[in-house]
Amino acid sequence: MEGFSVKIAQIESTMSLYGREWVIAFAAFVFGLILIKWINKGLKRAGTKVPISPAKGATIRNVITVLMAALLITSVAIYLGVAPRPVMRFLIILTLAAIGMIMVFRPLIPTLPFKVGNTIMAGDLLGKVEATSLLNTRLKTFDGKTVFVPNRKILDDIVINYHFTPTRRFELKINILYDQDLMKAKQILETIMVEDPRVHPTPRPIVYLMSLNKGYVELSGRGWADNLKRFVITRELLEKIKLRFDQEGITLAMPQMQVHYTSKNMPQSHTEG
Amino acid sequence: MNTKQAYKIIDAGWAKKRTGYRIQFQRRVEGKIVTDYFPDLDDGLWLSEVAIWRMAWRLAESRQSDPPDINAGDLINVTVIDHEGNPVKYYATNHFEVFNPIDTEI
Repeated sequence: MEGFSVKIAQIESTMSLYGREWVIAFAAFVFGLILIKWINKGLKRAGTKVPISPAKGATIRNVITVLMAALLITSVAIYLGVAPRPVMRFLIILTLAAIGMIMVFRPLIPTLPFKVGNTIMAGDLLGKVEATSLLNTRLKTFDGKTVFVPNRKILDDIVINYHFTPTRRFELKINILYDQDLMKAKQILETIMVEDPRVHPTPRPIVYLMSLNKGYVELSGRGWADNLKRFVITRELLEKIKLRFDQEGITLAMPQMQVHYTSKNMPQSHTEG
Repeated sequence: MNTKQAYKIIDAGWAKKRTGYRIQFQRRVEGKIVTDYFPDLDDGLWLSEVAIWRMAWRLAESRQSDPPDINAGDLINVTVIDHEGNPVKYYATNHFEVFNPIDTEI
């Protein structure tokens, strides 16, 4: 009990000696953190007006934030009476240790296969990466949804990053009936693809007869287009193909089954009238 | 003739790739009929044939005059041209189409 009262007395004397400085230092630290956050937000806003990639902007912002935080901690420590040299020494050791750790363990740390601003397909989700953190990735889908995907799920799943391949092959599957003019259908398909300004001239668009199915002939028109325009291009080409086929009198096949009766297998009720 | 030369002939003579589309229309400005374009000649062409024809139709529907009168603001003889200024067949009919056609030569 006596020891406890001695400790209380010690705290009282310490507080009376340094209490004011501690409170000021604490207030300065909190104010500094708020200021850093405010500056960070300002930099983020300014970054949208400067022509640099979002990923680079985020890196620059993070570096500035870390430097400001280090400066704040140093200033507070010096204010509390810690000699500047040990503080600086400690910060340098800490920085070097952090850099060393990153360099040694970086190959072992699983990294996300995309950066902010990339368009990706992760699992069933297609969208643009808006932000990444240690735990999750913020994805904005093309129908306007913001999805937070856990990074562990992304790392376990197949990810398609469309950033690495600016162009992509598209395929137009067209089915026509057996009695339709196959060569005419192929010519129309190819002409429509070649004429479109958005379809790349190389590799050249090509039309294949994919298969002879039950009830229809399957054609496939293939060409290359920019990744970001692919969706619209394929829809518009399909519209043009449908209309041109109508004009040229080529009938598209619909899912159907043809049943042929011969006199041998004709049902009795039909033959008897 | 090698493959490259053959394709050069094919590209020049068959299914020519257009670099874009523009709407050409006429309107009355200070009593005179003038020809105008969308997008402006200084602006880039539209790459989508479907979108440009839809836009032409919208423009024509928005400012339709009662022939033979052409009121200020009316958009007449609305059609689509390619990068060389040649008229483009409307993909829906495969014919040269002009919306709000009015003979301005009379």
